[in-house]
Amino acid sequence: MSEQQPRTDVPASETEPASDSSSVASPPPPPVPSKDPKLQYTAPESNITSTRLAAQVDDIFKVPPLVALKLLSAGVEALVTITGDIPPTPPPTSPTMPNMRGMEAEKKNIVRSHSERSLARLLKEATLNSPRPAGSPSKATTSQQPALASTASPAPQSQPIDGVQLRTSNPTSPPRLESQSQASCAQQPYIVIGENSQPLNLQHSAITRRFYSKAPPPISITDYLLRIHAYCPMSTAVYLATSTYIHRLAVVERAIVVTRRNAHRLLLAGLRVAMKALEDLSYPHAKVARVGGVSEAELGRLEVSFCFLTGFELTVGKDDLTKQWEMLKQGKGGWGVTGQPAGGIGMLRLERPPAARGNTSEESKANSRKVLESYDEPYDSQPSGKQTKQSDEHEKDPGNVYAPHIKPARGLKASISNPGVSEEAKQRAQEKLDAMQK
Amino acid sequence: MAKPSAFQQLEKLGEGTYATVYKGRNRQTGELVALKEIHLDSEEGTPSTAIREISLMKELKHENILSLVDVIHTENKLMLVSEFMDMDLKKYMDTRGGDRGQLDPATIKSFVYQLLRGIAYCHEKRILHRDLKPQNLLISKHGVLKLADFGLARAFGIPVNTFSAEVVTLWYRAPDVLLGSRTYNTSIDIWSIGCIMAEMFTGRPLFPGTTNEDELKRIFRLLGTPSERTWPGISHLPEYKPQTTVYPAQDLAQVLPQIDPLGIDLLKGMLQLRPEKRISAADALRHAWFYDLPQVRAQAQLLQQQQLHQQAQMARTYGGTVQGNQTGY
Repeated sequence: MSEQQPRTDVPASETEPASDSSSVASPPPPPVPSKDPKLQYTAPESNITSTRLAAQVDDIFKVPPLVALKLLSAGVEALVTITGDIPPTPPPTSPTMPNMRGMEAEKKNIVRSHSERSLARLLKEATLNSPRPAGSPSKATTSQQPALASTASPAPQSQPIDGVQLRTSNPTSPPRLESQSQASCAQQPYIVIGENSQPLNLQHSAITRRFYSKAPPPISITDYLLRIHAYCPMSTAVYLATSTYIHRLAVVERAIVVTRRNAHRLLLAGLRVAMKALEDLSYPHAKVARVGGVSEAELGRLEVSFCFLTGFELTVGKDDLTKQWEMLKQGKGGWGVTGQPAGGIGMLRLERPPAARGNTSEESKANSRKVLESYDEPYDSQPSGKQTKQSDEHEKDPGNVYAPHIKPARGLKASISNPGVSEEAKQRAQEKLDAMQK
Repeated sequence: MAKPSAFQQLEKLGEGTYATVYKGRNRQTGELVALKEIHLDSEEGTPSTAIREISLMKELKHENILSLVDVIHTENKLMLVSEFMDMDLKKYMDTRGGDRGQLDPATIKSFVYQLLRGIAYCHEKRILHRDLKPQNLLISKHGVLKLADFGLARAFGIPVNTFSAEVVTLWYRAPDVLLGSRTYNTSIDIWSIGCIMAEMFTGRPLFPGTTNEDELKRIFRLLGTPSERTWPGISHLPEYKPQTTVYPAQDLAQVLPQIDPLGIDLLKGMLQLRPEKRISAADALRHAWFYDLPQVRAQAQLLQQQQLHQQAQMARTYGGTVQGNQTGY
């Protein structure tokens, strides 16, 4: 039997050390899951006719992603409605001084993200070329804060007292170092990480601010999510996980308040992070930024902010997701926020009032309507859904008054100046605004 | 409010594909730490490997899993602060192993046991590691082994869309994954452990393949070429191709004479071609091969003592004879 032949050299370790050692010398590279050529989005087709049924199933594996998305949307809408129209930023939790500082830094940050991205790139290049610009004050003053929330950190006076130079006695003239190679800089005797970190409460308030826009974005939460789903469909697990994260932050930990001004960014960041945490393949950064209506740099910041906000507690199991699913399915107002009768909250309102709807883009409207038409029985079938649909038009709760003639214009103006709104959307907003002012 | 800790960065320990690792020191406590520096790519934002690694290490708290101390965000990088370990298993074998890098049986048994404990805990938490290999196992100077590098790990059993077959470094990749399966589970980590166990005995990787096909061929040459008869459903796997040469299975005990019969039995359980026949981590921990391990023996003794103690106490309570309900329960 010729097949017997290879048998003899099987004991790899015993008989063929010579041939093996060559391959041993170069261990194979680590795998890259996202490089799997056959890996693709095999989104289960959400069978529209069976969505009503799907709303009743207990097995989250049978829940079509779109159904999960709807519930996520309804849940966040409910939170927003409960919150009402509160100030754009959370009230200061500590005396004014530190927060003022934070705001200052924050403003700088906004300016940075506003103005051409080339500025950010320049800055990055500058920092790259000289990784530890020890004493050069001209360099990247805002960018080198090793604090968790770099926005909240630098008291001007802490600038020269950077732990780097103070401790090193020998290289007293750090500028010289700049001309040297990166390697020599890396060997600097004292590199301290996390020295200028702010106390955690300050970091927290700085992080939460990052999600706010000046005025509510002109697209409803539902439309926004449907837009994302249209271009970047994600899985049931990702939608339910996002819902879990936001629920935990807003209701369980009370770490954030969800309002019309921050819901969009929270959702975008949550979805992005959930997808990276749970899936082996994620959409390109540029695409998600475009679809979400923010710059790539901002998406990056939102993403990492969301991670820190949740304390990186992003691992979810089947039980967590099932629990979330059960809760959303029951349509408990505000995800279990007590003291609010479910019927009165407008938990299942799927669209904004007509006034607002007039302002959402035609594209997304058509888009969402298409989806909505084919799919809103499960919500209609729930009593609270009906109730809101009737009352929605006129009886808004006082905390959330909607003045149809004023707000849209304001919203449009805001969206034009909002760094988080894409050029395309800005243009559209400008057109609408022009038309309105005629 | 507590001010977050600061860490002094010391010498470079190693460089990975997406991170550089430095030794570090906590400036308040003087404690040594490892600092893993991850660059935040403006192209793709925070690497998903970093997001996963941090979130999973936060979830997994076990003495055989590297623990995360802190995460620090600076302008364009993330710094993961974890406990400091002296070296990885690869380096340990190179420096402490015999002439070819092989380890002594007692050390191997202890390492395999700790490795299995760590992974059993992960699997219990519904998490797959997906990249077990000597480089990702860290050894302290007291001989404690910890799982590290959770960049490829993931939760399983949730309704996601994408499940990659590009997982686990080639030499430690299970045959079902090599055949393109996307429904793999905890058993792929067990296969890797089997490969690592054999490698510790010989000092050489068990299946040092160069390509997917080569890797499969090496596996089949040792364990026998599977067929639809020995592995029902194999022909439906995406990458399955009928093999030109059909190898008979070898006797592991002859191929690996260094391993004692009980060890061979455990290894056979871990190196089953069919994923569903592979032993689970929990069952492997109860394997007889570990009975003479000091910690297992101590545990068994403790248990025995407790039982004896209980019996003795019961005997005292009941006055030597157990008679119905005469005591005040």
